[in-house]
Amino acid sequence: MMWSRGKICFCNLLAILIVGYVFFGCDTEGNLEPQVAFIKYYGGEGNQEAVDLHVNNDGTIILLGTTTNNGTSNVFLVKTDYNGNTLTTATFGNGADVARDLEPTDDGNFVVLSRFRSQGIDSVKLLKITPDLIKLDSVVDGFAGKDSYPNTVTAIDQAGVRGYVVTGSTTFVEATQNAVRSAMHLRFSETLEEYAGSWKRTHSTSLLNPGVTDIGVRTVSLDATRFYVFGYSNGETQLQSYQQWYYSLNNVGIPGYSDFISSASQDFVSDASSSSTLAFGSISTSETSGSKTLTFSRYPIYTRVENAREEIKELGSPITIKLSAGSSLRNLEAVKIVSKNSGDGYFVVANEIELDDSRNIWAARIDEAGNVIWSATFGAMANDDRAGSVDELPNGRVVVLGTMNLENQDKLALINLSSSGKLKN
Amino acid sequence: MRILLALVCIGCMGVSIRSAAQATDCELVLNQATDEYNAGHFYSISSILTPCMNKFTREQRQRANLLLTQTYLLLDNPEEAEKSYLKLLQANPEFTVDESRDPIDVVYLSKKFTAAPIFSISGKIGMNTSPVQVIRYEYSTGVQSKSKYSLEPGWQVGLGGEWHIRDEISLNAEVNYVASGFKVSKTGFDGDLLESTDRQNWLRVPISLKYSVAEGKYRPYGYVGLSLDLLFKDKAEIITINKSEQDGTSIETVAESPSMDFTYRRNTVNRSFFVGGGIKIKYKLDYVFFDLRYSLGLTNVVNTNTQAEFSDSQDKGDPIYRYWYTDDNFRIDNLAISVGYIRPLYKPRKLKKARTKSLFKKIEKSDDVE
Repeated sequence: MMWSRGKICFCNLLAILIVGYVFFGCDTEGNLEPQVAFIKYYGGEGNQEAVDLHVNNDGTIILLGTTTNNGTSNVFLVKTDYNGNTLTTATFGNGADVARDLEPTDDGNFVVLSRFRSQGIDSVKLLKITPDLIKLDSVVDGFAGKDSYPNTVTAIDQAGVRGYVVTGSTTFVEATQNAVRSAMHLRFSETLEEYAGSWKRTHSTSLLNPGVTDIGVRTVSLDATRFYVFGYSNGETQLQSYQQWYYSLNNVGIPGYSDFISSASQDFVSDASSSSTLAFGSISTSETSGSKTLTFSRYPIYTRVENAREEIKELGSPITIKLSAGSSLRNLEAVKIVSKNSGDGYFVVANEIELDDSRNIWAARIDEAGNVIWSATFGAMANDDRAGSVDELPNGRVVVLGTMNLENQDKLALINLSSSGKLKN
Repeated sequence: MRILLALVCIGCMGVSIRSAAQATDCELVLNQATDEYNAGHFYSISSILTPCMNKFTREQRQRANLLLTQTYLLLDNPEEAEKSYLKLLQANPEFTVDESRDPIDVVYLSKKFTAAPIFSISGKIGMNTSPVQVIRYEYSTGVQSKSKYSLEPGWQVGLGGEWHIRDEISLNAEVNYVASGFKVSKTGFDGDLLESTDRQNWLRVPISLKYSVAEGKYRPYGYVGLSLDLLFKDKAEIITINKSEQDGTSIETVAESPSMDFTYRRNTVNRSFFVGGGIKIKYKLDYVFFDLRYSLGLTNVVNTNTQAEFSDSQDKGDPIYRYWYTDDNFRIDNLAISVGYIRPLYKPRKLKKARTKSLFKKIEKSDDVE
């Protein structure tokens, strides 16, 4: 009897153990949620500085950076899949190229803008590549004997005539001007041929004040015949301080109306973008008494009827709003603004400056009025991490590109966030 | 001081001399009682032994109570016989009657009793190592280079309780403190290396069903069970080696992290399934044992919610932002070897149902032979 009771007990316990095992189960890949949110690093030997990114319709992502190693610098490109896995990488340059901007073209390719230094002169270099990062063509341009500092490249389409406008500044100063640096815009055809005439020229805010510095940052298309160049200048204040500055270009690239916006002692525009709601948005770093804030300026576009039938789009006076990081003690340096693909508003990335002057990557989504919907900060304490760019994935998630200082090297960092800016699935 | 030491020594000697004298005296008493028994003077035996009952050694008490058991059985006093036999078992819980030597009525009586332990307690200490079973690799670089895990030594200490369902089968419960670890290395960025040493502190509560051989000096055993594993502390140290070339010379730049708190990156409650076995070696009334156990981790140890979390705390470090470290999803197994000590809590008692069936069979068998 004792034996059989023990046997029954043993069998019961064995059953409990088996049921327990089945009940508890075992974690396998099958019951793990797919890891959608991620931080991934890209680079090779030396340091890599993030510049720009573009999300393709198929969810693949092109990352642009500058790689520096042993005193040389080149354009560095990475193509990743939706999960951030590297599909291919490419390096272009002659050892003196600094990547500046990446722009998709209407034929499905990309143009990469870089600043190219040769024989002591900085020039503009445009490189056309396929989506698989294969080089198609390239061109070097600038103002003979003078430095050119390109900032951005914009694809434009004038009734089927496509091309690219490079915006920046140059030390080439036209005879009638007194600037030390003038804003420049250079247009190239789809096949990277230089446009002659007014599409390659400089523009200055003041013909009278010697020493004026005018910097063009980005050209934005209003329509096929009108463009606006956003930048900053100290021309209006007689060199006392920099202000936001913009000027229009007509259909042949001749500057027209220009204006200044003053929102702080110093205001340095870093980027501009057109939004889906008939407005342009620009961001600038505003400095007052040593503190830096990020200023968002929204330029409404209105339509004026001329001669009772001709509708002309024009840029209205901007509203400006200052964005702040989570802590009022931390400063912000504006880096890039990108209009949101789905719905209104923009994504903004900036450098959040810690009290020890090290930087973190600050990303935010703002609405049309400049209200911050969400913001997030990424980076290690006391390490100098910098924002690069931001874009939206087809599924509404957000990817942020930055440069992360990994103790002894800088690498491109791609951060995949939820649509609410969380580093979560 | 010397005088004090001398006094203590003399005191100790006095105690031991007195004990030896008592044992000798009681041995004489025991011999006298045996002689009386052999002479058939049963009624005086109890009174002869009584003065020494509290002075006997354990072995003498066993012999005395066996003598009393036999005596009471002959005097047809089963109640006192049972009491004496119970005391015998208290003196030596592992006493077994010799069927060829002891009278049949003592053998019969013995079948009504047992001193088998219902519970045992144990303690153990040992070493372990923790193989990592990757559920899914996660990559902190765009290149999908899989992490490589290697073993690190750990140690453990534990206390256990055993409920003896039968002589051979028992249910075990333990509380173990386990310090374990592993090392993981990753490659990235043109041959750069990352190595993380992860150290964990666990409180494991395993419950198992155990089968043991019930006789002999060497008693092998085996068991199977489930364990609730609480990972209450996890720390990691990361080293990154940045390989580069400068002017044709290879340069390695090493960065070492401080000890970083990874507890928030782990799931606290985990489960495992384990099998094990070993051998118990009889030592007096207790056992020394050597145990080998393999635990199969059932749960993902990594907290997926914090896998890429940015931390503002200095203790937590910034494994992802500073050292390009991200956790794979993994389970942790554990191979442990222990040495321990088991103390059975013997409980001499009368059985509700005597185990006399086998005895009767034997008697019948011997009758048939005759």
